[in-house]
Amino acid sequence: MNPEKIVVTQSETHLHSPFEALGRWRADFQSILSARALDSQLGFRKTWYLGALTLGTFTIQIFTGLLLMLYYHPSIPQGYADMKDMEFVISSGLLLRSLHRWSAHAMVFLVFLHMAKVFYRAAYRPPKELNWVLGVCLLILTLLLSYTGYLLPWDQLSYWGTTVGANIMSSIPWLGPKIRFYMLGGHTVNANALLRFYVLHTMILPLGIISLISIHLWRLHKDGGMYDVDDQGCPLFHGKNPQEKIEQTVALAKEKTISYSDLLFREVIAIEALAVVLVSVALTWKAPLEQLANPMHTPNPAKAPWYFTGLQELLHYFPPFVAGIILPGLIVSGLIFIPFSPFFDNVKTRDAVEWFRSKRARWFTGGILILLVTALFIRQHAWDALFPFWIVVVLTSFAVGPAHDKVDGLRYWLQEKPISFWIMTLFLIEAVVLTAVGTFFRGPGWAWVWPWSA
Amino acid sequence: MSEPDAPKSGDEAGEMDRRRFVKTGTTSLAIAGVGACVFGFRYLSPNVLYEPSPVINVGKPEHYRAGSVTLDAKNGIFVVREAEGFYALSAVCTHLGCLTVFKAETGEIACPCHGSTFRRDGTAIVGPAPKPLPWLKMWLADDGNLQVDRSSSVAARSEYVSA
Repeated sequence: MNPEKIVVTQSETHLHSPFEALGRWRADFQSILSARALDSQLGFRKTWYLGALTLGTFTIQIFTGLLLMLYYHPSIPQGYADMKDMEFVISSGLLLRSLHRWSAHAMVFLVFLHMAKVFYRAAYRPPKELNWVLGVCLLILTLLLSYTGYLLPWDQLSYWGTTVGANIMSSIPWLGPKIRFYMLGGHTVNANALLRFYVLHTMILPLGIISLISIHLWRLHKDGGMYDVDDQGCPLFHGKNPQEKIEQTVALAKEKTISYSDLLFREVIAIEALAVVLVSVALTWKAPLEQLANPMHTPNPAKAPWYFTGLQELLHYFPPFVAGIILPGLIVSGLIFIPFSPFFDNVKTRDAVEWFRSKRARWFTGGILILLVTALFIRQHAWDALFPFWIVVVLTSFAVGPAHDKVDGLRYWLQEKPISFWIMTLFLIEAVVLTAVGTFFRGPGWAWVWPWSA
Repeated sequence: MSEPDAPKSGDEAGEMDRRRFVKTGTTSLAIAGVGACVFGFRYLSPNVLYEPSPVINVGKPEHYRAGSVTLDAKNGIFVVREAEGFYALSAVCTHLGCLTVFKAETGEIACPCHGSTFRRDGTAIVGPAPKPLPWLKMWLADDGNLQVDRSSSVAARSEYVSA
């Protein structure tokens, strides 16, 4: 290289005072959140501040988790004794443990809500598709953190939940038993498994989730702020072309006020409100702790925490490999695939209908699909999984029915939706119904019970 | 490094040029990475396990009533005594590993986790369990105690231990 061509910029990296550095740091920090936030984007209605609230629960998890680690020993049966100490001996121990537990539940719930909100507001579309994929990965990591944390108290539910989870892994053909062995560090859920889950829960998964959250926030900034759809529902900064994006950005910035400090302020208030709620919950209800893990007795019913009862319900109907590996795998790849599929995401329902040459062909194809799925579910006696499917079938039939004159009616609105809308809606209704059935309507032997008769 | 005004190829100078340096470096890093993965993977698999022996002693035959199904919860097996003789059945559900129990009132073996039920010979009746409960190898030891090897199964209804 020719040294003459290298232009050494006299950078302004020299610090005049610590205060100046602090000021610059503050400006950078604010712009991480949302440099181009517009007044219209800041309202609670647009995002419900779900991303910030999720981050808030995660922050609570980090702090309560670090404190719990000071007393918890990942060994058998000491881990369980530590839980008892936490409840009866250690100052504020019960509050910390309860807060850690309920905040974890809140985090899972908020992650799902955040995902649904982002989806229905079409905020996953280009240029935000990478952030959507990161979000799906964060969902998986959140569930894995919940699952690994679940074993640590070493009570009955820990033990049997992990046993079931490990056996789901071993249902994978050929590789399964090997994966199970590596996961548990042995043939049974024992000391090695507890230690492995502890390391995953306190080191590997948190490091992973912190890295992904950082990229998630950085992308949020790069992709033009937190909320991307204008009043007419058209995405701002939609163009994939960077030049187009910059032009839009400049035009918008001129037009409206940039007020990121307001946003930061409101989000912090929202997080604080959530923290108050969670602490109140933790003070009112203590985190459940069953009896010491007993490999000689499976509790009846052995119920997973609510975010896995939907999965447990599926396990009741379908073989473990289907319910525990294939279906979750399909759901995850479907979620990741959404923004990249021109077929599912760009074709409106009304246009999809036009592909069929005749009305008869349309109803014939739809009918066969519906009959096949219905027959499969009835064969497995999965009535509760059939119910959401039929809700979506009825809605879709209504949407693709005869064209409507009214431009802002429900039918028009549904016809405008891309095909991915139906898939996501089916997934979410299935998740809600199966979770509710698994949590409230299942008793001993996983038999149907009415919640009020129990 | 070569002189900036008179560049020579690495071979000529007996030194390594940048391209070769990067190539060799990347290759060695890749080999080291694969090696680390292989050893890391083996490290993750414990060579010694402090787990109970699969062979267990279930006591004298006369402890079991005729026609009884007895759960040995500690070892996760059923000891069944029929007219033909004794046999041992794994009590670990073939679905997802929960411990099943024998319901005397219905004469069935039931799993509390996902609702599978089995007959007393291990065959599945209803529920998600994909396979019957396996029959385990059982024999009468010289000291008159029944022994069961939980790690080896035998064909169902193939061998009864008579006492």
